[in-house]
Amino acid sequence: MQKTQSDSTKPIISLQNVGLRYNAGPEVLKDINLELKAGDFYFLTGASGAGKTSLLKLLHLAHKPTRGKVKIFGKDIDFIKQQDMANIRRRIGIVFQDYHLLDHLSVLDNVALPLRIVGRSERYIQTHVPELLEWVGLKKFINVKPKLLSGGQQQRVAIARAVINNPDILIADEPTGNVDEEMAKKLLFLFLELNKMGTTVIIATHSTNLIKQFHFPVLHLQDGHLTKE
Amino acid sequence: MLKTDIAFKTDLNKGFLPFITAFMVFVASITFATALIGNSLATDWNKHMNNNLTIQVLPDMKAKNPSQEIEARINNISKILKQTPGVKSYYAMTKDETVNLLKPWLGGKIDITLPRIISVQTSDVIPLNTKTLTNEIRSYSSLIKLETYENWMYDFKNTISAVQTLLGLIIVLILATTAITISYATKSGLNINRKVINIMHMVGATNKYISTQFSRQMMILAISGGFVGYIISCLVIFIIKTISEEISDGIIANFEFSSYVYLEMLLIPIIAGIIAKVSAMLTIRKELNDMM
Repeated sequence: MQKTQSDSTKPIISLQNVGLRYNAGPEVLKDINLELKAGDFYFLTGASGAGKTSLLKLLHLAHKPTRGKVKIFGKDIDFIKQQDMANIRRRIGIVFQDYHLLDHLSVLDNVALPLRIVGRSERYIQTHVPELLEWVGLKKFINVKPKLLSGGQQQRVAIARAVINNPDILIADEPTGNVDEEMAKKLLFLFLELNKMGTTVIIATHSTNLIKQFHFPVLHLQDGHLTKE
Repeated sequence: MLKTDIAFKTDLNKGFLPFITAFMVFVASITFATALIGNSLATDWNKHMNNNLTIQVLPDMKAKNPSQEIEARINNISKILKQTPGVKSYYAMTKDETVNLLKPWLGGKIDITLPRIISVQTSDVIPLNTKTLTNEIRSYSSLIKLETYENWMYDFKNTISAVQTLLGLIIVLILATTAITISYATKSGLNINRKVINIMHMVGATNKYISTQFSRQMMILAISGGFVGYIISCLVIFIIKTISEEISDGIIANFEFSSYVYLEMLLIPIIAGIIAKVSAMLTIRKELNDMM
């Protein structure tokens, strides 16, 4: 479904002078200023330990900044109520670097989780989830538990879960790290399709190949500082 | 089967919670049954005692022939009883029966004149005026005691009532302990499932969604454990009742311990389940509010 036109005029993510530190440790993110609009597509790069995952955690509300302001969908996350937080998270699809799948649930149930949370009917789930799993090449593993899948397969389950709800924002931490080049391309095309429908996409990656193939702007993190290339 | 996103299969609670609830429900059921037995006993005895009174005829040692004198008085009291409305029947124990009754304590040869007992059964339909009867008998002779068991029953009922209150408090205490235990079990369950809960939060689950799933599981575990406790307590009560009936042929045999009581006891595992759900729900809401 195409996102509404008005969504693309205002920033849906806004970070102003944001700093983040864990407990009493050093600042891992420093003076981050960033505005993302609906339909933007960015790659996020940087060396290991540069703060990519920390920045993504701020964007999907897993952490609050130590300083500065983070606004998502126009709401300051410092003043967000629990119910609003859940509503915002439902509009964000996340692909975690270590997949974060629920081991006791089947592939279908893992992918269906965001749909069940928003109260979609079982009929809807049984139609749409297998379709998407077929697209990512996992239909025959529909009833398998994630632990029995390879790293690449688990990654595709995580991607399917992130996109099943047609999110407004898609955040992916190394989503193609464990798949072959062909599958990586296929998954990128899936992200592109979502982006064409208005989803804002941010992909953290080390792959220079991907960045070269798809000519999207790159956000670069170095020692906690963010620059746009 | 109920669908759940939380991994109870790897959770300690799966074994612990049903076991602890089974134990709590067992203790509560036995306590509850004891309270009901007390109630049944009091009602049964009250009913029995209310229809009985005893007249004790004491010997007049100043009389020339106390033995003959007491027989004469018993005959006269019998005549009074015969004419008194509300007296259904009476039976005066004979001298031999009284001697036989006291044989274990006084031996076979008793030379003294013993007091005699007249057992009176009152009518269910016509009320007996015990005051008038007492006055009438007393005006005839002061060496007569009329025992209606009222004082004894009053004390007995008070004791039963106190015991029942105590048992009620014990049940409340057991249920409170169950709630606290479930609260701690819930906290441990939340810690075990913290990763799952974080993932669910990340994909947009509300605290209500998580707590509903969690507390529903807790309720199912508590009810299943509770039913085991209930069945064991029913078996124990049934065995005790059967054995008591066989060996005593007395007090226990008179209990009106019908299947209705077993049905009343069925409320306990259901209450335990509700307590588990509410207690888990409150604990989870509080804990989840602390998570982002």
